[in-house]
Amino acid sequence: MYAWIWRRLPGRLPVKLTLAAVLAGCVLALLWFVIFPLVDTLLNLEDVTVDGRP
Amino acid sequence: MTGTAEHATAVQEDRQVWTPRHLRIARAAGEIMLTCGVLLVLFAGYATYGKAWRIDREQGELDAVLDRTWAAGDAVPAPGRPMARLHIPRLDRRWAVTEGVTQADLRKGPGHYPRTARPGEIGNVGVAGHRIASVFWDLDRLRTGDPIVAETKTGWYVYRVVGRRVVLPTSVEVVAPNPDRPREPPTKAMLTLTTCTPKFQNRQRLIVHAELAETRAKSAGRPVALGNERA
Repeated sequence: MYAWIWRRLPGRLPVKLTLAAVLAGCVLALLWFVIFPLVDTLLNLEDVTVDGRP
Repeated sequence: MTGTAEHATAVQEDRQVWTPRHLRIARAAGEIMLTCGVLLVLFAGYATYGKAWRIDREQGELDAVLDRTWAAGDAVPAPGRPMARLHIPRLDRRWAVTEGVTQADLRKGPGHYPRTARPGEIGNVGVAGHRIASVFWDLDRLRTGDPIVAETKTGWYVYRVVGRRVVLPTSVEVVAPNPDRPREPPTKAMLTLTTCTPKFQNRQRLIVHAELAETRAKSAGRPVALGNERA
């Protein structure tokens, strides 16, 4: 999968490296700001109240 | 040996190196497993640092909202709005406390259990907070006698820690008006903090009880118990 993406990046090595970094940055931002908060809400791993629900 | 036709297809798919199919499958599986591992580590990082960072940002805003609300003379806080400030000198921390304990409320910092007492009142002020770095992470470091200071528009309320215990999440009596005798009417002004324990787990609740020791008008200046915390 990663090799497939790498081969499809256009340009020479410096351009490819830059594009790969930008791509990785976008994925990280999406995870950090959208997906992780959503997963965290759904899992509710850190319930801290006493409310009678086990 | 692999047939010529299959060989040709593989060459088309992968012009750089030709690899047998079982190796390609193994490589794909390896990539998927590595990706899952990295995702898990990233999520753990988010749960530890990301949430703490978000709460720090929310707290900055809530602090300003609280100051504006007090300046406007609005004394009754609506759900989801800040209702008081809480200082714990031992942990060198202070927070704006939101009214309510829903998930959304607690993403901004500590939350005040609705229908529990307000600071200074006879009864029990219930406050819940996440067990993360920017909220109640170090709550287990509190010792008997440590001050927990609630600050409202009009006053300072210095509570002193009287006890700590670990209970099940179903123990609603810890935030009852009279936590020692849940069926009887309250006689003292108490404050109770709840968070999860053990750290990163959800099985039990860490409870800290404190009792009102000193009431001070806002005009009389900051209480000594705050130490040299910056204003």
